[in-house]
Amino acid sequence: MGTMASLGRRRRLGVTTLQLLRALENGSRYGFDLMDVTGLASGTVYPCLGRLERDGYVASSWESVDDAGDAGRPRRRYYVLTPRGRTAMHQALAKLGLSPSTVASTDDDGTADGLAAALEPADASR
Amino acid sequence: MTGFVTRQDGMGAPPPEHEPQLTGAGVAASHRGPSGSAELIYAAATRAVRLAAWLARPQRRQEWREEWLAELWHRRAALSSMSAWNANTAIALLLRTLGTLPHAASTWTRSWSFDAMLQELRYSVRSLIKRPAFTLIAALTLAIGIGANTTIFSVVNTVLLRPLTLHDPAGLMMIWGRDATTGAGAAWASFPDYLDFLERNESFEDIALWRSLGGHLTGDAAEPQRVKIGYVTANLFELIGVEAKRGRVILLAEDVADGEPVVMLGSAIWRSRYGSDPGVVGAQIRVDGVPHTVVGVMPDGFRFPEDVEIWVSLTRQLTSDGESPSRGMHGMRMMGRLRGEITEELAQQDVSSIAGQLAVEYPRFNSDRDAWVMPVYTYLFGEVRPVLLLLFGAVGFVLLIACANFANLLLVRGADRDQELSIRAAIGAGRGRLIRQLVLESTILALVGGAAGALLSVVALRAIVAAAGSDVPRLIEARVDLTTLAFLLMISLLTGGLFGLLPALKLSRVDVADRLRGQGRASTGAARTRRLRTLLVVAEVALALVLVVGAGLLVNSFWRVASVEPGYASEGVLTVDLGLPLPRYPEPSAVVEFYERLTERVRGLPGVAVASAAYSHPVNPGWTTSFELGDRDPFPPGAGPEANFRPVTPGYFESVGIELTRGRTFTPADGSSGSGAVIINEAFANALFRDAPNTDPIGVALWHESWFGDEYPSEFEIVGVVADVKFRGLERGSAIAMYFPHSQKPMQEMTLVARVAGDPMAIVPAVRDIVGELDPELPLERISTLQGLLDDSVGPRRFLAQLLGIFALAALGLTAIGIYGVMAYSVVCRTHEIGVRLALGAEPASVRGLVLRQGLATALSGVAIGLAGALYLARFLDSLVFGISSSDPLTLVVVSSLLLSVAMLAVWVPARRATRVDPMLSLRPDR
Repeated sequence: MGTMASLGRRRRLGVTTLQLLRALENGSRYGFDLMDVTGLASGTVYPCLGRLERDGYVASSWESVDDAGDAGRPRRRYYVLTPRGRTAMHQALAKLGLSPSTVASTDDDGTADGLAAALEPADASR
Repeated sequence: MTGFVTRQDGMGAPPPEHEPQLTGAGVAASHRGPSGSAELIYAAATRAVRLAAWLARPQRRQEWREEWLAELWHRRAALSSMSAWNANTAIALLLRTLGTLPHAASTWTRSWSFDAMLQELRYSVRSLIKRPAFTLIAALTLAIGIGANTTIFSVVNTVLLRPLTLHDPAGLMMIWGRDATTGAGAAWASFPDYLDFLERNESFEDIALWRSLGGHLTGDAAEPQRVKIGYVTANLFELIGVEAKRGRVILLAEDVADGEPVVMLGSAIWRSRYGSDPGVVGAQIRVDGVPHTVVGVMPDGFRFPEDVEIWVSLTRQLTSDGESPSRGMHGMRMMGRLRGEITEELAQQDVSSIAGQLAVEYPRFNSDRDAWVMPVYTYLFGEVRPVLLLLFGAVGFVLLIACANFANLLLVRGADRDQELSIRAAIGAGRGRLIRQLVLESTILALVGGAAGALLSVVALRAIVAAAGSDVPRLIEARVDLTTLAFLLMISLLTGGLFGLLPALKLSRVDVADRLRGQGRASTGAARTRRLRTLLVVAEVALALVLVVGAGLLVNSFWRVASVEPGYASEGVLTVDLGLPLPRYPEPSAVVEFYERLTERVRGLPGVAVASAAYSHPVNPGWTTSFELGDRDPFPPGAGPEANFRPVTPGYFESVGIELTRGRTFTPADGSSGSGAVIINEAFANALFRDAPNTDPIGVALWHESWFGDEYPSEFEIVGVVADVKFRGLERGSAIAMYFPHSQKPMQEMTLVARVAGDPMAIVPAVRDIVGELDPELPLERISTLQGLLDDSVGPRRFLAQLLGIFALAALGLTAIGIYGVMAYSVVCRTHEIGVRLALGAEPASVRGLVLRQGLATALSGVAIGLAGALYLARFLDSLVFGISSSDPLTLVVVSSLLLSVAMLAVWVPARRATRVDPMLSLRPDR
């Protein structure tokens, strides 16, 4: 059941959240991979993913049983960015004075540390 | 949730290929590799996940677990494929499972993100600010309750809870006598007794002996200073496990007859007299004129035993003159540490048996002297403990009353917010969310109240320390410290949470449909909570009654004590303690001469009517000694009476206003060369001439050993009888006393007493000059007035009565607010009903009566319960009341009436308002 608090409300995106969203946009899908890419701890990543999913910024799904079963391995849960999440992220970045290209350049090193670094001064000047 | 749910947003990518394409066999093969420990760690990680899964919300538990286990499995597989699966990577994996805890917790709070929390917090604060009157009253209510508790907690914490400076005090026992007249613990041992106990006991690891006496510090740059000296056996420090902060303690080798004279300084003296100079260790100072080497400084706050300021060897003091100390000098205290297996009972048997042996062996000194063991804790805090616990109980009551009030205020306001809560519920807020919101608000209120309470307690504590700092041991150390603040935070959260939860549970039960149908707003809300609110008020009244009865009893007792006739005229008398150091005044005649010259010169000061000196002034309980009466057979050994020993100079009875009932007072003719004279008090005359009431005691001979050599008399003639004086305290009966001329019992420590016209303190500078001329090295100590000393003697009782009185007033005020709130609200809720009554022709008086009756019924129920409680709890006050019974009917009646009056006053306003209800307005449907 939705609550008053979450209805029609735009989440304010923090650095951690933006890191996760960027990592998802760049193709990471699994919880553990997101931790590797962002360098965030599991106790941060999972609750954050849960909130993002609740707010409709992220969708999660399970591999089909068949896909997993064929390979003789357990099925995994994966996460993808929703359009709403993508829009929100870009708006948040723009608000912070970071153009998508700036952000894109931080992707080159494959981690989101660059993003975090790029965000910080802007964040502080806010 | 299986399969892939396609989102209609173009984002729904199919499940990706798994990058590390491993076959099951490949994984299995890699598992059989060298990393057996990695496998063990992996097993631990999966176990951790399965365990943590139990913390997750049940509905989500399975997929939660599945996700974690899959991630672990895949990570291991990936690492194996890269030949990187080893103990280190396994540990990293295990560490990652730490995140299961917050993750599992997060499954419970659908909207419990930081943002949402902030939002709720903002909402709560806003809603509190919107109703400033409510917020202020609720926070103030709690501030009073919490502030009072924090204050008394810091006192109890400082005095009772904070560990003693003694190591493992539980094993320490006083070996103790009982004061024959009072039954209280008393010093028991003489030095020979101590040696016998040390040798014969089977219960104690070790036993120490001490006594404390006043003395002087000289021989350094500073002014001569009077200090309290602890004469202790050197094993005391090891016994209590305390070491010097600087230097060392007295050595056993120094605690012998020919030992080096050494002294240890307390940290207070070290700081005040020696400016915290570390170089003082090793320096020479004079203690009572005898050079001593400073060997150590004791830790801060260490003042054991009996708040002494410096420590020297007892054995050396008693035996250095080559004579063995008398077995009859019983004024010392023994303390032992129990052997591990020995209980208090066994130790008691042991010391009783030794005391019995000594009584047989030394009938002259030790017959009829049983010994007792008493835990050192009781010895130190036995007297203040019940008082502090009583205060703690009282503030507990204040807090409960405040909490009941707080809950009531929340209920009343909650009923006001019915509509708001209904709307929130209607648009989807669950009950849990409503409760959370309400509890959050009450917790914020409690924290605000707690913060105000902290300020209150800082102020209150200062006042308490100022008022009673010297009456309660260690009270001056009381501070609002971290422990206190932790306590404050704890009770704030508890009151806010617990007493906010109760109304929240009640209020959150919102019937949305009912409310939205437009049912009367307040009436339904109030009906749901009315019984609870009435119960809370009944509880408040009951608690307040108990507290006010307790306060009433103690205030009454204080008045009774304060109005006891002391037996002397306390106004207008200056008192100054003086102590001539033995090394500089070895001759008793020099002592007599000093005090003669002093009193003579003070008598010559302008405004001084009479001046004299007394070994113990009328507020000093002094001590007792045995005697023989002339025309009787000697008393059997040890069975003789003891009388209070009070040497005085001529003019003493006139100085303090003690009435002479028979015979004469002392004159200068009763000198050391003259024949012995003694004056007894009425109690003495009544007690010892009981069998012959008409016998005139004047002229009867009395024997009392001369302690000052043969040139002083040991036979005395009773020359006068004086009125009794409450020198043991106003609460206790008069003891038998004998007054000797100081010239025949030349004690070194005397109190100058001067009756002055006008302010006694005005002559202090002149007295200081006179003393300075007679002996420049002699300090004036404890300059006071007789009235001041008398006031101080009832200080603890006044302190208790004042504090309880304040708490009782707070309780009364809070209760009045509570009753008012409930009744006022009840009237609002019944507006409709009252309007109908008035419309149908009810008299305003009958409407008023309706409200008054309801209020009175509530108050009466509270009073009835409170009376039962007060009678039940009365016995805890038995030891503290004076002159009345702890279930004094008059107090009960007065307090009950007082409470009912307060209740009626609080109900009167709403009752009047009820009669002014406009029937038309109240009957409008939109109300």
